[in-house]
Amino acid sequence: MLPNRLDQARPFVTLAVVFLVWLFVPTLVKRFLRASFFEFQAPIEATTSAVRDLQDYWSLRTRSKNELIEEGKQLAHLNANYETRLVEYNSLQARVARLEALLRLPSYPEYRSEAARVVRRDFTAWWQRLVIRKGQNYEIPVGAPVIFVGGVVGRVVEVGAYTSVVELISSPGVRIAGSLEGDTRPISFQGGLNPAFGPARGVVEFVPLDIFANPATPKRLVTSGLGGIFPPGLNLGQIVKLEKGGDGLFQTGEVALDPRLISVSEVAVLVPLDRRSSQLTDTPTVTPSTPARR
Amino acid sequence: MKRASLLIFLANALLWTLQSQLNHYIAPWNLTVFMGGLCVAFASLRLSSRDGTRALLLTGFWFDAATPVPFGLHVFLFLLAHTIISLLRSRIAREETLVGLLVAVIVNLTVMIAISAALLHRNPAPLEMWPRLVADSLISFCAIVLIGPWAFAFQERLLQMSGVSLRRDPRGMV
Repeated sequence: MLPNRLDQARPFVTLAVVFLVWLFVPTLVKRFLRASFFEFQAPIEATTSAVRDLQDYWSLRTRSKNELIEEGKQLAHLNANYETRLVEYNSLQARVARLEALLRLPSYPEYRSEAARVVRRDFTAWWQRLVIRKGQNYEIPVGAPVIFVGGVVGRVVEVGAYTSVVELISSPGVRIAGSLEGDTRPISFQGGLNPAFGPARGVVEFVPLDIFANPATPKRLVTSGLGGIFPPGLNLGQIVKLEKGGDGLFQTGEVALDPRLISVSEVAVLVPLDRRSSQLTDTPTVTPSTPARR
Repeated sequence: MKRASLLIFLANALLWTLQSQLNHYIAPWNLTVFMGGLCVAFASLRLSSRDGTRALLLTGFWFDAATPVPFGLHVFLFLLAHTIISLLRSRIAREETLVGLLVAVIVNLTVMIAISAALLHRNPAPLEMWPRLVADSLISFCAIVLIGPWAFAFQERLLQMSGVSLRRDPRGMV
């Protein structure tokens, strides 16, 4: 009976040996394999995204002219509003430059914003990621912050030739230094609670005891600028629940993220214009209308 | 029979594409479908052990490249499932679609649990995740039951059209 049993165990022994050998395979080989398979997947994802855009185009073609005229009017209103904001923005930028010159302050590094379409959303319980349709061809760097109309989306974790992977702030592995709007004390934010059929949530730690928040009176959490990845003042979410922590010195709580985050289809990647200076300072500013470079 | 491995790998890549598209559309409900078990079932039940290993090796790498798990985790889990199924398959009616579906569902659930166990440390509140995991498992089960018969028929027809004949081993007790 023994040889028969050994014969049955042979595939498992082989698998165990292969597994052990795999553990000692150099990381470079593994990274090369991963990158190769990733690049094979990229055209498939880009094609499906392009087909989706084509479907949207043909569905929009079925709309009546009156509807399009109405949409055009609304867009014209929006454009007028944005143009006014742009003038205000330019005047504020000029004032900042004047003050910097007057006080001899070091100038903050700037970003160019690179708009990108979302190719694939992958929101599991253990990771929350987006694949966007821009990569090395648009000089997207690893670690670049990604934003959308509702605030922070996440940061770029992988860059391929034509696509990039963005890890969302709702992903359990993401930690960001935040602060309350109008407050400078740092608060630790971590993503992680992603219940089914509901918006993503995060958790906050090290919240000072004098801060109160509940669903009726939530507190807005923004990026603090510490760490040097995210510019300060970007919206992270609303603190909706706070309770005293185990040590009694700080509070912990829940953060409701923007509900539009889980259906986002267009994002903007903030690419540092001067990589070296962005690493040296930790309070960068954003230039939203800088032209994109290929 | 290298052609069989390659064809089944391509069919599995198609299944992965379907899965990723489905996940893209159901993401606003915070749900995820995983169909790795369906990829394992046909390769393990219908191909020879060596062809199945080759096909699942490539399929595992394909899944690994798209997910932030330790590279090789899917390969290991798929090959482990393949090894176990290869030992048991002579005792089951492996040509039957219903049996294939049953195997796919069991493997799928097992792989999902194994991946969850491997990534448990990443979540700040892992115990609060179980309703989400149950919901994901249920929706994956529904997807496999709906897509499974088509996937098996597609893979079988793909092999037939390419001139690969599937070996039908004599089997023992069901």
